Amino acid sequence: MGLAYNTYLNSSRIYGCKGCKTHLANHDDIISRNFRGQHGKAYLFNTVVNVEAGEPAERTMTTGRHVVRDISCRICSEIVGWKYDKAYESTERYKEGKFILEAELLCTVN
Amino acid sequence: MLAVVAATACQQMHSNAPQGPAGARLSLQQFTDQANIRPLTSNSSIEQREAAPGMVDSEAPQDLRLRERQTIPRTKNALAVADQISQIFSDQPAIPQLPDPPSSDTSRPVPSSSQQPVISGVGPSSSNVRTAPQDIERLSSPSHRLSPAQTLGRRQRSTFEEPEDGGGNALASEADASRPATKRQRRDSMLTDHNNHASSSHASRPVTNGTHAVGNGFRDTADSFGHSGTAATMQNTTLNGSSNSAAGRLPDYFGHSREEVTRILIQALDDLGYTEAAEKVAHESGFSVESGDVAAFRHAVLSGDWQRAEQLLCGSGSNGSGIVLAPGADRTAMKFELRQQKFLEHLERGEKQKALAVLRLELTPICHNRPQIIQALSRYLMTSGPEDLRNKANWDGANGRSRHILLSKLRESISPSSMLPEHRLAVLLDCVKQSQIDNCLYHTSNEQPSLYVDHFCDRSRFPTEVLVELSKPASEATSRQAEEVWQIRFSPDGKRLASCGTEKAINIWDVERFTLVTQLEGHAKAGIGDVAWSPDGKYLVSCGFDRSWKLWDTNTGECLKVADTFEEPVSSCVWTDDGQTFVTGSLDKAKPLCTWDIQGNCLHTWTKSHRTCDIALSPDQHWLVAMTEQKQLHVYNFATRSHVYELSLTNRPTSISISADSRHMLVNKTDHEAVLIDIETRETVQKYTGQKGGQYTIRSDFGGANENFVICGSDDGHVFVWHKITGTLVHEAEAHQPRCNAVAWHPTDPCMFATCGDDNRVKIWSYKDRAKMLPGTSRQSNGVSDIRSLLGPEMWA
Repeated sequence: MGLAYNTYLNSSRIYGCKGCKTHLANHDDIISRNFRGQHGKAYLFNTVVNVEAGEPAERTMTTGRHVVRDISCRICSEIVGWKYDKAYESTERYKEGKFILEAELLCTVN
Repeated sequence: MLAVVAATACQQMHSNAPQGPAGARLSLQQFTDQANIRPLTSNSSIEQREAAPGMVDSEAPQDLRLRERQTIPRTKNALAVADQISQIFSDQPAIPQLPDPPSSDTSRPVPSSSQQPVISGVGPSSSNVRTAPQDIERLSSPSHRLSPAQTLGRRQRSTFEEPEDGGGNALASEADASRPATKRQRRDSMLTDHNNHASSSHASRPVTNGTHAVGNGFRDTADSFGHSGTAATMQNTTLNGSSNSAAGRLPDYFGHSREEVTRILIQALDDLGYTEAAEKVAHESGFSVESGDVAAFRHAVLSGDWQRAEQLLCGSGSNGSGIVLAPGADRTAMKFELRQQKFLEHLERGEKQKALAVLRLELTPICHNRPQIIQALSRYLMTSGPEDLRNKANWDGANGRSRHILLSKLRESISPSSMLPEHRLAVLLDCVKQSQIDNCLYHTSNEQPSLYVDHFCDRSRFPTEVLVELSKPASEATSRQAEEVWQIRFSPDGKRLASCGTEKAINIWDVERFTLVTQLEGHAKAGIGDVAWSPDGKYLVSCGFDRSWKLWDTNTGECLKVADTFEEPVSSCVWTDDGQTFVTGSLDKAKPLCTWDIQGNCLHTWTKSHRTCDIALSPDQHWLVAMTEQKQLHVYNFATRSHVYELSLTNRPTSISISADSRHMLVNKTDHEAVLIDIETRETVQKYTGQKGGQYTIRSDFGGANENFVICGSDDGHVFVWHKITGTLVHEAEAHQPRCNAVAWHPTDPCMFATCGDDNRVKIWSYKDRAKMLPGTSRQSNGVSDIRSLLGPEMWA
């Protein structure tokens, strides 16, 4: 990959990578706070930036079977959450294409 | 019988040509003797005949005489001669067959083929005291049978000159030989004084063009018009000073106004130092470079006669018409300039009372809305002497250049048709040269084109091949693959190339031997986005993703200064032309643009908060353009550090550079196009498409001789070269895989550029034959002749 700078966000509360403070998502972009990840609380976001997605894997979660990819920070390559590729249950379809960031792995950047 | 005689006379004429004017006249004498005709005048001086046109009667024998004399030099064809003579005997006015000079049609049914070139070539120069309009007027009385006679007389004169000019090379050389001493002396002395556009190529012109005009036989091209005119003038004026062959003149010069062309030429002759020739041309053609009033005005300004100058300015010249001003010119402003000069000169001479009077009575009334000017001028009254005055007012003194500078300033307000702009011919020639260079599609030559041929560069010298690939010693080849090169920059003298990227070290290469010279180590492993050479090549600033910039000494390789107080990566850097300060751009919102000096002190933090991805400084140090990651360009006035404007683009820009003339900026965008924008007007002047843009930074730049090209990398690995002005794609080649990140054209060598890419390679491109000129036999750099290092170890695993 070539030379690329981070994308920077513009809002009052920005979540960034705990390790390198890279901007990841806006607080206003949260769709739901009702999620739990391996490390505790997690939020569902519409868009996140500066992340790279890994290989798709099928996982069974409390809500059913999904195909997800782990996402990691672009700069420090630490995993920060995952992304939903496909949901097998029709009620869970709304998650497809959206991102989960674990609160434990984030910090607030202003 | 006459035909035979004429034919023999013709032959004699040609055979006698080398004898020069004497020979020509002699054969004419012979002819007239043979034909038993008494010549009109005792000597063959044509002036006399011309001076008394009324005496030329329309008697047939005289007609015949003149006619025959006319036919001798001109016709080379006995049959044509016979035709003409038979016409005369058929007692018709010979006009219908003869080209009628006063008529302004340029297509003439010329009985003799050699006549027309004579007239068109020699016409304007071989003229009489009378002005052209008068001549034409007189000639245009076709019913008057004098006119053919006069016509004949004149034409004869012009043709009389022809064998001397066209047929006799010896004549030209004689004329030249008789005058080279004076001509050359004057030329040499004048040229040492004149530091104008009369370059050394001009110096050789007069001598060569004497023969040129002669050799071309007056079928002039636009190029040699002036010169053949000059040469012919010089020849003709010695031969027959007041010949009046205005009859033969075209009303315009190949579509250009005769008046304009002649006046420009007279000015050019004057500029070149040929004042005598200029006067003669002015005399002959009846045009003058400037009207009497304008000349008087110029004289008045240069000699300090301010009253007269103002009189002329306000329109009370000798004709009552004064000087015609250019549209939009302000008489009051011009008056102010004159009076200011008067004021300063009085002060310089110490005449404080007079100066004060000027200030009160003349300057104040016209400056009533700008009191600060009056204040500034009154401060000069306090100066202690002429030296002090000159320093304070930044003024050269009455005996210096100040009057000329004043004249130049005023000249801008005077209508260009009454007072020609300075060096007009040189300006026009510059335009022609520049437009030829600008349109040259493969322009790869730094030399000034000659005026003799249209400029054209051929493709063989255009860089299309990879000359060499810069690589390091084999021991490091194994770790190559994972690294990428993100930016390359030539040093300002073109001798070294710096490359940076994901590697921790910055590599400096020698461009002549293509070897690695130094490695600058010190940055953390995060990537280096940009490097910038100082104008003298001694220092290098590197901008890193580790949120710091470092200042290096390029010769020793040591890091001199570091600044790591940034919260975000430093993205780019530019130096000012004094080599003492540089500006860095950073993605840190608090410090988007900072000016530093080479001691590492932060001189200024620019306050507009945006995140800078790339910056560019114009060579005239006027504009600083910063590119943000939000599709915007911020343009600052670098001197005052004020924000001038903000330009929003349609897509994310990835690189920015400014042209050498400081007028245009090149923005490379991710939507597969690069645009050239005029900095002042913000218009998009040209677009360059073909390359691919993606989410990564691809860089583009200007390059080539005369900066004729725009070169750019691409997300698909190709390198693109376009012609800057027309936008046509000149060259495309595969450069790197998967993408070509940055490109750089050699600053002094127009036939070389370099590219770098994600395959950790830097390639140098030039034209095919260059490879043979490389020092040493091996084409690989650093003496590594093993082809494995070029292909990469993975190919040989």
